[in-house]
Amino acid sequence: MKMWAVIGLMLAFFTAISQVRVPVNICFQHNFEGKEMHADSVYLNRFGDRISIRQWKYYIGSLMLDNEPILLNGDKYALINAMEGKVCVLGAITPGNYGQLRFRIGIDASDQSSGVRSGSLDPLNNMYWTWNSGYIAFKLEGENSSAPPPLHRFEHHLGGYREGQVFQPMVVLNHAQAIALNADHNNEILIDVDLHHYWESTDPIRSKSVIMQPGPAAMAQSEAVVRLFEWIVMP
Amino acid sequence: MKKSLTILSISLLILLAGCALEWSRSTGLKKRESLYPKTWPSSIYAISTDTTGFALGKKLFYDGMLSADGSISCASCHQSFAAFAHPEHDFSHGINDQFSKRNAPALINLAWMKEMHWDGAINHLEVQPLAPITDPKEMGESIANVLHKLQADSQYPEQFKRAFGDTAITTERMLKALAQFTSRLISHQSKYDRIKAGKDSFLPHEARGYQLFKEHCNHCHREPLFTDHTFRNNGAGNNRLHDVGRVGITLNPNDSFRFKVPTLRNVQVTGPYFHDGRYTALSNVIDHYTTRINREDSTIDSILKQPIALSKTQKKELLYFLYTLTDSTFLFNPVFLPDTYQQQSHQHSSIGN
Repeated sequence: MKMWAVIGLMLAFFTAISQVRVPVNICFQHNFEGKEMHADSVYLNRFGDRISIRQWKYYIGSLMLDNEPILLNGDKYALINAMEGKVCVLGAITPGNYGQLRFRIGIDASDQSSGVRSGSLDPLNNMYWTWNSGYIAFKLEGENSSAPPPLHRFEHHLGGYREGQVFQPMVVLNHAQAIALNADHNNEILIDVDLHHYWESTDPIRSKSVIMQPGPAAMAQSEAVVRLFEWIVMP
Repeated sequence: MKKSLTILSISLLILLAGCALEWSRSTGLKKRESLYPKTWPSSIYAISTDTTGFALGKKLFYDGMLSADGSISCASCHQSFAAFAHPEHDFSHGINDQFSKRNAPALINLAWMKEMHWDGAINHLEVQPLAPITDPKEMGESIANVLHKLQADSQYPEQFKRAFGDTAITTERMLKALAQFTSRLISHQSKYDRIKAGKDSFLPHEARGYQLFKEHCNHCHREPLFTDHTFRNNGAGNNRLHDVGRVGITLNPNDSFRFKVPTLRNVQVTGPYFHDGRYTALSNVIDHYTTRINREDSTIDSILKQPIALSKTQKKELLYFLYTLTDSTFLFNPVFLPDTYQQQSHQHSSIGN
């Protein structure tokens, strides 16, 4: 009898837990001024430079809608391969109306020095500095006519967790009006990620075409990364 | 009934003792309680006594498959009889006849070492192998290729199954197995240790050397691990590779030319010495601290700003003390050798008998 009571309580507990959260798809639509991402495409930035992108990957974590955390499906972080175009991350959240989305680009310091990890943090994903332990938070590689000849190559590997080298910029996106997330319909949040904004008032490639380690040069790119993201108003 | 129970209990105890003895014989490993002296600080990494993970880690450690062309294993530059340093090599050899850029350090008591490498670039024992495996001047291989080769091998899937429950070979499992082996490289049975345990005593010249050590060296090479795990500028100055040391990781100018304080355990056999292997003899190292220090550096360690004065006799006494840190049980422990060596050794001893 006692055993049945315990099982009943556990069932009630897990049912309650499962009821308090609803699935939400956070989708990132990657583009260059509206053009789709292709490794063989050539884009023009605001300075008239010709740009091609070979790799563009980044980590997201600590996702919050207003003050509610979004639990990712089985992982603390999601590794986004922007070259795939639209990338969706499945999460779960308490039903409600939300008007602000926040997340960090990169990995918490506590997860950078706790030994080998699996899943999105597997060093196999080529987002790990093997010579100087730590994760690359944001990787952007390609060619840019403003980068030094003859290859005109640029590689920005941005990251860092040690004292004075922290690269984990917070993205804060506000929606014009609060959106309702509930169990009645497919919940999707669409984020526009326009690489065109990486080149704003200054050309980060012209000033430093190769950033391969944590430090001031990587940290200086925080704003350029944050301004790529915009929460799209759904009709 | 009572008699039957007593007989059963005794039988069980005998069986358990037999199992323990067999486990100890088959692995040469000891129980956690006897891994290191009780007077030592606790290790910062868990030291596993799992034998299957240890065996797998050891096999990986000695396997050239971890390098791009199969020619270089971890053991190529970390040889057991030299306390896992690389004797007679200032810089080790990588694939395609390349030189590494720093001296291969001894692998001793790594379970107490939070930051690895001469500049502390590596922040955990488990991730350390990623550096030499992927360094183009060392093993020059990608993690993906290593995993692919291990998966295609006829033996590894079964060994991963024994260690982890199934045949999946992942980065995490490979590195955890390697760490199970390297965390067990514990040296604590030198003459010095026997003396500290009250089972031996210094000879007079060793005792005088110990006093000199405590006076001049113990500040950085702190007992019982004989390192304080800090990074210091010991006045070695710049070298031809312009190796600036710790500042390359922290970007803090105060860390210029600072390098890890190495342990002095087994220092008799871990030469060449310093981050660039510039000194081949231990006596040269002592000469460095008495007469060769470059005191021009702004970041030189404060403790070295005053010259250390030692007579010729005192230098020899210091050397004799350092020799008491040699742990032949560690250097020639068959448990740390590849299984093939152990089998050959067993065959030879059988023939001898």
